[in-house]
Amino acid sequence: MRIEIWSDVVCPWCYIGKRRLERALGQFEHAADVEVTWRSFQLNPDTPPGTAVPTLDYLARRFGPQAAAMTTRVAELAKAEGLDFDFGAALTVNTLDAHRLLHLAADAGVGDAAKERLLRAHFTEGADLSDHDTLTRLLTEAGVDEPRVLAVLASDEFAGAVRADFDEARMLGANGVPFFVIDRAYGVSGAQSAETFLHALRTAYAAEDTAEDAGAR
Amino acid sequence: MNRTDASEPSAPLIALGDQDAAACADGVCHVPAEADEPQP
Repeated sequence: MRIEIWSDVVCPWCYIGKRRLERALGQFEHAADVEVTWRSFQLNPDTPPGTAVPTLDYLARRFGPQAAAMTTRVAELAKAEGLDFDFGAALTVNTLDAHRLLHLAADAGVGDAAKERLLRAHFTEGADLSDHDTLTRLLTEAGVDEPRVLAVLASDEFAGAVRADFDEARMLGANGVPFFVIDRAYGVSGAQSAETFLHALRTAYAAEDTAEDAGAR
Repeated sequence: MNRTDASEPSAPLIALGDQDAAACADGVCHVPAEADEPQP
């Protein structure tokens, strides 16, 4: 059973959804049969590379005075999932390089560790996820070889894979992230509750099981 | 939890779960359940 997840490392609901899915998998009877694949999606692809804008300033420009209340509310919901969001320290950046490195990390077998490290760095530590020194540190902490990180950052390696992921999300009908696809048959959109994720997992598994039984007859 | 490279053609997906669950699109995040207002 394969779950593909389209998300961005600066998307609060993606981090919250990740935790909720993990909680659901902790209760799922067939979790050992599940493989999770991270896919790239950029929420702000037009953000100029090399610029880092304080997220609260970015939101205030976009939404006005209500931005502070918005972030407070999302931070409260994150806290319920055990996440410590610090929007006051967060930086809005172009995440293309971060996504390229996530593809590298996946190839190195540490995709989930790298994803988690970048999410925590953005939402809790106020890291600039477009800064190459910062990305190098975070990826090596997640277990990727530093020379490969530097080589990818010095090239456009994996840029095509990032674009392909984005195109595929559109093709599959995603109109936002996080977007979860189970076995290319079921789509689950948004940061669902852990209970809803668990129900979706069981539904997809049962349908797969039924299809296999029918095929065997 | 790691990535693989399969991208086989697919039929339309069957939607599961709450269709109003919180998500982000085009730089804006929404919380439809309690208040239909944009979120960061």
